[in-house]
Amino acid sequence: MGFLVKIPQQLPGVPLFHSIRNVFFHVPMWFAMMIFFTVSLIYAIKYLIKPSTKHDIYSAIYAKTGVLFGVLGIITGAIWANFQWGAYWSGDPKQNGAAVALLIYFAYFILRGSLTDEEKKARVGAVYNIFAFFMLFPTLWILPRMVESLHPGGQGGSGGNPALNGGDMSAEMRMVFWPAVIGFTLLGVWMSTLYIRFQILKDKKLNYG
Amino acid sequence: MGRIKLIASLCIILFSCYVVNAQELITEESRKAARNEQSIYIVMAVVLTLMLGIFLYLFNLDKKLSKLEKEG
Repeated sequence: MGFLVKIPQQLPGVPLFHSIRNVFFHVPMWFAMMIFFTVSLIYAIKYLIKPSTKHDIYSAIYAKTGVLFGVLGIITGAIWANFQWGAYWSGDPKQNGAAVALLIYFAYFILRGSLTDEEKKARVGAVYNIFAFFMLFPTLWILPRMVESLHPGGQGGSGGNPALNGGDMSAEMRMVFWPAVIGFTLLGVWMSTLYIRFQILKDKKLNYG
Repeated sequence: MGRIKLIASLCIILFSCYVVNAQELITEESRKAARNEQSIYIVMAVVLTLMLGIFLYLFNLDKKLSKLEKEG
């Protein structure tokens, strides 16, 4: 569908040509990532309220899937940027912010991996997860809006949502875009549940096997 | 004779101007067309990257699962 839908031929501003179709693939990555990090945060808080291995596993795996989608978002963004902006990485505030946010989440896994005690790992991980989640807001939502950016939504640009400018999409494009967001999110949820089932099985084995 | 030469050269100069203009038009058009053609491959590259990433995640899980099965 992303390849077939009619696109507005005369876009205002920079001509994007067919690469505007990347909106159906690149942007849903970030939507999905935000959703998974939110789920991860919820399970981290749940763990702190009522410690159970299940909550810890859910939290860690959803963070993992979120990081996967974030990395894919960055790579697809770089491919698109090379075509449209002339370089894979041009130090756009949104690019840098996303990279910082992902590095913070990489540190989450390093922190978890460095602790051997299961309970300590889960508790420290949950606390760190909450901090990491709230670092997403300045890096992804606030800073890119405050400075000039190549992405839509920066200062001096068109304004509005920094991830996508709704006004630039035709009704037909929106008909593809929102199902794409839902689809990629559901795909990620399925991948996470597979991983979670595996992790729970493995834990059971370690405890009883 | 001198006058004919003058007119001819004037004509050539004027005409060459059109030729150059036309060439510029053609290159501008073809550049745009080439870019338009390229742009769809960028989308293809993006989709392939996504597929690759998702499959790597699942293959990694598959490998871990097989290991778990072997142990049990």
